[in-house]
Amino acid sequence: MSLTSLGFLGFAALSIILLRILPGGGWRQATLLGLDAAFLYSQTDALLPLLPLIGFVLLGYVAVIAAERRRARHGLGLLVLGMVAIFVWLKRYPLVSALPTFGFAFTVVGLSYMLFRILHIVIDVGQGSLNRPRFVSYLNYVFNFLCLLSGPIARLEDFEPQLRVRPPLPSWREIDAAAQRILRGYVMVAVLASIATNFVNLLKPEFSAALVHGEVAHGVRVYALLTGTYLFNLYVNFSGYMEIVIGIGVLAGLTLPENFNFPFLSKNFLDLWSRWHITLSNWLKFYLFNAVLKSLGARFGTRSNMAYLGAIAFFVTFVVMGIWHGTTYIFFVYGLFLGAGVTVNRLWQIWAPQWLGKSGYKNLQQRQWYFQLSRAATLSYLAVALTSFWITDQQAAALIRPDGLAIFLGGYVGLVAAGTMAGFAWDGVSAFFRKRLLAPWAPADGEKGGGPEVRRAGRVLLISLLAVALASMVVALVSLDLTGILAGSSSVRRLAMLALMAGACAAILISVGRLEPAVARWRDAVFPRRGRDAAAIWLGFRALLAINLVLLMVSSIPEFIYKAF
Amino acid sequence: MSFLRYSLIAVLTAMGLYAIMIFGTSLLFNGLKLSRQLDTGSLRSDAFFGTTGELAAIYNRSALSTARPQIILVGASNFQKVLASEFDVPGFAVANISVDGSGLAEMERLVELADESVSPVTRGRNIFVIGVWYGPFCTVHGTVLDSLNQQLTRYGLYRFGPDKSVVRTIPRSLLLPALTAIRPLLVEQRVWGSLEDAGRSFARFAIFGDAGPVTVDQMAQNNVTVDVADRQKLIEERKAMCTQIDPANFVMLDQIVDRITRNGDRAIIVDLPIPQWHADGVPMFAVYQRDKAQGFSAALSHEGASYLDLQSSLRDEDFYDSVHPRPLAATKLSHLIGKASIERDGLRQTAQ
Repeated sequence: MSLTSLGFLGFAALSIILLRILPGGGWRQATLLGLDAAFLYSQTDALLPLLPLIGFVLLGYVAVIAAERRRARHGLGLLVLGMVAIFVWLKRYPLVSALPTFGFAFTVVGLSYMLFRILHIVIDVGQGSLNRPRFVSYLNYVFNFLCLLSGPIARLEDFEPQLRVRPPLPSWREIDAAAQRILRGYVMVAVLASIATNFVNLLKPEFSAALVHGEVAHGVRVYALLTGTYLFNLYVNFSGYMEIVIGIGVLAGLTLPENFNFPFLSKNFLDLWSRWHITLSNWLKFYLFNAVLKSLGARFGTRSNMAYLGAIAFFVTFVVMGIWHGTTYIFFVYGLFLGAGVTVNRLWQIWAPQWLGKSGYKNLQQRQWYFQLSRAATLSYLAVALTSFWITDQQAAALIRPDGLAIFLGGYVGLVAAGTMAGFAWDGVSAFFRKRLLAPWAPADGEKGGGPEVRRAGRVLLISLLAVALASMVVALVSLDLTGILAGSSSVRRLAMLALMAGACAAILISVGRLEPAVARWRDAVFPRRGRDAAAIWLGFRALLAINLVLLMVSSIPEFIYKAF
Repeated sequence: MSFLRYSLIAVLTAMGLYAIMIFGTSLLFNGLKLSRQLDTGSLRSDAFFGTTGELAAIYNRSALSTARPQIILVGASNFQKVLASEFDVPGFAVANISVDGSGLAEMERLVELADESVSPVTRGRNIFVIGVWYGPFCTVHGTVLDSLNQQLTRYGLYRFGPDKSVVRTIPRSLLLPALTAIRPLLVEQRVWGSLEDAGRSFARFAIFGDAGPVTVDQMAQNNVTVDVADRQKLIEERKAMCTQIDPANFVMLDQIVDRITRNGDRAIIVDLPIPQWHADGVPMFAVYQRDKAQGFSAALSHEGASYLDLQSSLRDEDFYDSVHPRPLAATKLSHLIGKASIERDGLRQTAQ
């Protein structure tokens, strides 16, 4: 069952109803388990391919019991190693490819995330910081259908209490926010990711051709476009998925942790990992980084070298993160790349204050150009690192030849330059709207409500509408007119195409919630007593818009990228 | 209650707005007279459903449900040029459901679709006109079956069955209301299609710094002259596209005719003209000429099946490329087919 299918929407609606009307405790546990089982079964439509996965999870519970009984350090280490070894075997890493396997095709969907959840329980129960969960709670936690394919990686102590009691019904504002999130998620996954995937698919053969023919200048441009678009594609695909499952979770009474926090605002590479795939970063911080740092500190630690040992621990953590993403050597390269990035970032944080002085470094960080450059360099680095996700072996081989390296480095530099300029432009325009236009109409103290607020809210809404219209027209003009695509068209066709393109952009912007703050403020000001109904009407409009957009893309919705991990 | 009331209002709003959209698009639909005639090659149909004809053939089928019996033209892009609106056949409604890129597999699917849409009261009085030439009988021909199936299943009215088949998911009685209900989506799909084309050009611009060739208007295309160099290029293309005549395609034609005549309707196989320079330039035309009498015999043995030879009905100047007739020439074909359908003038029982 794909997340973007009508079947899943029906399944989600049924889940919300059942989990809201049935009482807490055993009923809730049993219902969720049934839903988990149905969703898992829908991934293969057969039981046999699921058996190894189910066996892995059952073994995980045996490990939890063993961890609880022994609570000895070495025993716990062996249990963790054992689970990792079975994971490596099931995922068929090249290291163990010679070992025998099952005589039938089986699925490993969601296995990587299951490993993290199981290890979290095994380690915490083994260390005594967590009580062993009941078997049914354990199954619901590991197989939770909302998190099965790609997280987020919730913690058991946050998740389990939600199984015991039925949470109170959310307020209409919470329902509204959750519904908006689901809509936004669908538009991100089905529309934005689809557009980005099409662009990526157009660029890939060009990149390949540029590598083969050694066309460096063309290759640099194509590589920069390709890596930048792929990063955007991965973001809208993955975070859109998160919006959907977290939103459904709120409606069903299962609160899930956030996994993204405006990663495109990251100041540096370390900051990025507190904003991108947050639950994975946190897991690795708790269970790998801290353990490595503690171990290194115990053996080699002095007051002066702890910061450097931290850099080493970061490197190890990110190499492991890379390897976790895939079974081929290219993911080891990806890990090395991430590890190098985070280590350089950490070393810069150590050395820069020594070179510039603490106040000098602080001043530097507050400079706008430094922020823009640092942000662009960070995101561009991630974008080129993600090359590992899509590159073929032949392309990888060509990339380490002189022409390929020139394309690689040139692409990165080009992306940083473009990213810096785009960052300046975006922040400048945003600041203009925020400070010059919206701020003066923010309500003054004691002036809330009544006529002035209605007028202010109306003006804010009008400006937001104008901003959406302006942005849409700029996109239409740049993409159609300035590129010469409409050259030779009659003026009627030209105007019609520009209007349609601008309309489509506006529809996408509205359906991803760009107007939401202004609409909510205007709604609360104009309908103070009927806010709920007004919000529902607006949601109906946005839902229709989003459903229409998703239906338009229905034949080209891309696969969920992270499902492969 | 908060939850229920909120959800109910949101759902009713969305449904109400969608109902307004259905009303609006139905007005547009009627304004363009699309509900009266299914004509995949017409400019009106182009504007609403796109130039390939797939969407019109699938989603404008309510026009086939008339009290008058239908003459239904089925073929590929060259038969699309034979506009239904050019027919003047008393007592009959005329529809053209031809789709660009069709081979016999696509034609079979189109006949199925038309068959489930015609009014039961006209059953046994309809005439299906199948436009063929040597192209559909080549080993590799017909490139749009997957696309046709994808469009069919797009809005859930059909689903995929085994072996590339598609199965209707709703009762036949609900088909026509359902086709009306999805009209707003079709308008959006058409708009989105235009924007996707523009997006592809933009992508080209981003990659190459050049948006690519400017699209030539369809009417301008009709004025294009084919010089000797163009002819040679087109012949080479056609030679590459057709290396063998496949007997299995004659069997498929038989199946199509069987399906039509089983219901008591008539089937006319029209052998369409191509320019003489094209016929002389490709070896497979001669093979087709040699094999067709035998190949068509099974199809023509069905009660109500007949053959109309129009191979020599047009001159080379009547084509604007290797297969497509100009509008004026296509009108001549309309008259010939209309006359043959009613008066049975020129119809034969063999392709000798």
